[in-house]
Amino acid sequence: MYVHRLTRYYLVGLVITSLISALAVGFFLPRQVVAQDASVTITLGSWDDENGNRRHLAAIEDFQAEYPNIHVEIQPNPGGDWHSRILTLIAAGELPDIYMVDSSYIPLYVESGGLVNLRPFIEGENGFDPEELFYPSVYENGFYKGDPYVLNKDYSTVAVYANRSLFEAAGIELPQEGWTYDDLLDIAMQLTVDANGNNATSPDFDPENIVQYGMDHRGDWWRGFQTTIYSFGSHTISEDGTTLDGYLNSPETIAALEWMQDAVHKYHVAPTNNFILAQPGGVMPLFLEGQIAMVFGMGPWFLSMLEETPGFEYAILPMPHGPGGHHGAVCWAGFGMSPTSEAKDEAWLLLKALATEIGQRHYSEHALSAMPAMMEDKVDHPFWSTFIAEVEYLDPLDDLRNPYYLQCVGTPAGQQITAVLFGEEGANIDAAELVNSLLPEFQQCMDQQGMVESSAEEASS
Amino acid sequence: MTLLTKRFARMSPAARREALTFYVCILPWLLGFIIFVAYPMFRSLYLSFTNYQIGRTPIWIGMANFERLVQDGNFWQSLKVTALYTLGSVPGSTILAIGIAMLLAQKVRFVSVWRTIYFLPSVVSAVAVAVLWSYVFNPEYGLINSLLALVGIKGPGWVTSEDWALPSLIIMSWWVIGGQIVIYLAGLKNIPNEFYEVADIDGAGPWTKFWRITVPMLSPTIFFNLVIGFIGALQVFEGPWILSGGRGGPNRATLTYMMNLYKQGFELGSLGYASALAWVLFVIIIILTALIIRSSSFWVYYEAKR
Repeated sequence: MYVHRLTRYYLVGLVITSLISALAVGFFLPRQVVAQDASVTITLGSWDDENGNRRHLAAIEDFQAEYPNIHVEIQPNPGGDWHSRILTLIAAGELPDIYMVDSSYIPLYVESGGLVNLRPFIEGENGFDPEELFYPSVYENGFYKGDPYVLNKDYSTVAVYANRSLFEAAGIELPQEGWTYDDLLDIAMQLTVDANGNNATSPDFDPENIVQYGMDHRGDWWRGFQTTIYSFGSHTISEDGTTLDGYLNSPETIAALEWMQDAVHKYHVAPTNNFILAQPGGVMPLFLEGQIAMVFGMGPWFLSMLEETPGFEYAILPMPHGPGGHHGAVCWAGFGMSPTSEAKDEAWLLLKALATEIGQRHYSEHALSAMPAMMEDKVDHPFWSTFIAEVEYLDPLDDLRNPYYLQCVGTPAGQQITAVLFGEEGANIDAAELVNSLLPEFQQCMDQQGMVESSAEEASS
Repeated sequence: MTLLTKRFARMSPAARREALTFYVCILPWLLGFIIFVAYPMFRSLYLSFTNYQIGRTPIWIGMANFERLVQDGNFWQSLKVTALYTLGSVPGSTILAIGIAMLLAQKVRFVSVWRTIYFLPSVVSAVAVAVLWSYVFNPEYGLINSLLALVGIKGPGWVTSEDWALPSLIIMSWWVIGGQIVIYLAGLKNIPNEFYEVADIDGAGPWTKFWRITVPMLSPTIFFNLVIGFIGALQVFEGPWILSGGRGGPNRATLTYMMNLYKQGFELGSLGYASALAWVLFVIIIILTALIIRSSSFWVYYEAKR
């Protein structure tokens, strides 16, 4: 009897708990907000914070005014690991219809079945002529194996932020387009000053008591250093994306690494990577405080910091020419379409709108646009003009040549090559030896992805 | 009829009701275990023998993933980092926890306040702890190097130095020992006072009492904490991830096993290979736990066995 009663109470409790749980799950499940007269709702995945999403919302508002039967819902993911989230959503088959993509990940997302080839849409009824609309070098960063998968939202070219006051105090003229890495070193030595006021060209210069550095470096960020490598006349991977030997360890790549290594350890014009890593806010606060005279800036993102520092006089300098000429790497973000989208035609209309005038008029307020038409009023602007001019010198990114370049080469190379050579212990390390010792491991990492895929192909055939 | 149904048929109605009640009561847990633990485990075991790239169908490749990890430099580096971390973290935190528990077992005023203070770090989120320590370890502005500079010592680079990054993580792990302290405190409270009184009468000193009474009587608690500690240390993730910015640097000095596994699975999308890594770690933990349990007969004292 007692057991019967207990069982009854327990079962009743279990049923009530299950009902409440089911109701709660249903209540808290994200619901799509569907406008009363909307025939289609599509989702836009964004990694932006509140400020970035304001621009998305403004673009969406303009888009919906033009296409009232298409409703757009943003799925924000600020501060989270966007790349891991996208991979998880690809696995789950729950990607947003349109979502933001970093160009480095395009090959991996394509190979994982997460992006739609946009060529049929671009060349189709609702398409456009990209040559009429976009800078070619920017547009092509959304390509993989010859096809477009992502259209650009905005991007960053590299230029040099220079402290104009320090230049004037040292009596140095601001360099112009055509200056070289030798000029850069020469100027950096004049602008590197110790506690006694001696610069790095002086025989009395004390490298242990530097109060002002002439320049910085990109530390362990491989993408930032790729600009220098390209300018020294090399890329780090073959065009077909299979081979690192002869590229990552080419004489030109080694020369680029040794140039910066000497800048840090031999000429003392740049701080060590350890010093840079120890700065909570990175190098820009040091730049604003006058402790670093020139900073390689990946993009115009520091404009607000400059504007918030009254009285700070700056100039934006073009990147110097290396032995291989004037070349640059780009940081690039865009929008791609999910293969699982059930409204691809409508999703394409949104994607096209965000990448062209409707979206670009909002995104270009604070960033570089792939559309020359959106940059017309900035071409002569003292801040924007140099970044825009750098578009002409962009090289195709090495990251786009292999789906695993970033994970197998880019990130490890930053950690194990540039961070080491430009770090405190890097003075006596032979750059060529270091690169050659690591190259087989990087190659193996890329090959192992391919090896396992080959095994799978053999198994399935 | 199966053996189970035969047994069931032979049971009295009351026994049958009781058995049914049992199964109904454990059903929610059982379902949860099957769906969220057992199924994913065996699914990942299957996936470890496949090439499973995110977005594609898993394809059977036999032992290829396990052959690959033998040649994978990141696998060996992460194993080395994790082993060193474990060897530094677990013994160190055990010794500290026992020491602090012994202090907190004293009859002093406001001891409950002290116990709260020492337990507080354990309830702070691991992410918050790691962010806090990243400031403490900052080589230019951090608390430790600032204090060392006061006495004329130039502190190391801590998390920015290849040689000091892992010791930094180990030191950080010694901070969150509140849970262990509470367990050791309970263990200490269970040691009969008569043992110490008898030792006092026999003229035993503090160290003798510690080694001959406290440690043996506390050995079951130490054993439990060691097993839990080793399992936890081998799976460390949040601290190294936050302190290294998710990169495992400098130069892979803080690339732990779980970080490498996460990168393989969620940055490279190689879920099959990541599953293989997970199962290798599982086997390592099982072997280590079995060794500790096996060794316990030599050093763990259970009073009930007397």
